[in-house]
Amino acid sequence: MVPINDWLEPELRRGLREVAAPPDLWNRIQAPQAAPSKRSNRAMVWAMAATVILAAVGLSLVRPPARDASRQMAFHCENPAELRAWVRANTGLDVPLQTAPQASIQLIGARNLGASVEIAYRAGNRDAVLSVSRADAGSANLAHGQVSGNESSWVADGQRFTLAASNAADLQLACKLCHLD
Amino acid sequence: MLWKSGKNSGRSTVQASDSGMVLDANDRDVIEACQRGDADAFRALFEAYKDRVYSIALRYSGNPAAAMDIAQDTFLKLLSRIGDYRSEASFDSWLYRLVVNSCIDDQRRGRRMTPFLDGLLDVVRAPAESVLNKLMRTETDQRVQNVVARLAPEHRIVIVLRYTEGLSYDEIAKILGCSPGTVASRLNRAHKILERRLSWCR
Repeated sequence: MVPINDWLEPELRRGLREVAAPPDLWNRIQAPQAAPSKRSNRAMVWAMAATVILAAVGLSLVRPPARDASRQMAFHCENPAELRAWVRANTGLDVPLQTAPQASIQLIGARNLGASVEIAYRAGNRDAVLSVSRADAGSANLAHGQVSGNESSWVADGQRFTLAASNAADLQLACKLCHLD
Repeated sequence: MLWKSGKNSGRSTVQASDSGMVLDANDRDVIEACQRGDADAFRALFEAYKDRVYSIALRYSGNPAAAMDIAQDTFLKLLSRIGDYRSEASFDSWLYRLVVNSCIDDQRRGRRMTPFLDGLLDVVRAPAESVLNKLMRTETDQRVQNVVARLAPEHRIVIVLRYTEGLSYDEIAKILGCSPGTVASRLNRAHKILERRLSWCR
């Protein structure tokens, strides 16, 4: 056995505990596959796969490929440069992330919501989110201003920023995502 | 014959409803019935193993949509390959290998997101007085899952098999086709990474 700290195993057992499968899993299995027969099941699977592929090819000729939102809309990344590039490529927004933020800032990733992008990260040991969207046409730059207890909003370079931290005291630290000082 | 799933002493079982006999899921009769194309036997196996299969998929992928894809793929593989199963081997281990392979296949198909943002804004933007409570209640489990989801695949799968399924080093080694020493080494490495990344839990 590998020695391990007492606190880690209970956390892993609880955090990774078994969960119930969604009820519609059976329907997902039933939908593409009939009940097994005495014929070669493998042949049947290959035949169905070929049918699905042909149908997909046919559909692709008449309509653009469907996009799986869960695969296209978010990016799990700890690297500021990669994340900034992903945001720019997927939303056209430019978020001036620090390329080498201080150790208390740990990026988690970003999610593209269409009209805005959310960047999730840890500031200190707590969660923070920076939401960025295009500002209304003609919006003037607006200095960082606290609009509620744990949120701050501002406008810069045609983009509206909203920073939300776990509590108001974390906002200053959360700013280190983009600022050195 | 109609087969139904059931539970017996915490172990998944399948039951032959017309005889009232409760069988262990490894029982040759159920598997042989499935091999003969008995749809009810397949349903019974599905009911007996669906939570395990889905849980491994979810904990490995960190993504419910991906977990559904993986679980579906696993059961379709089970259906198409059940004829290849030989009763001298453990059915559990055989099925676990299908799940692991489906997880790896899914990983190869492309990088997926983990639902790391789901609910995060709601928590962060909750009224101030409830923020701390909500964070305390949900954050630990979510962070554990997120940190595990960021492990390298070879480390992640041993962690999932160990802590989601509670398997021994020997069982994990058989499923992954490696030695128990390799499993121990990967677990040791994964523990060190997790310990560092989750040290705030203490």
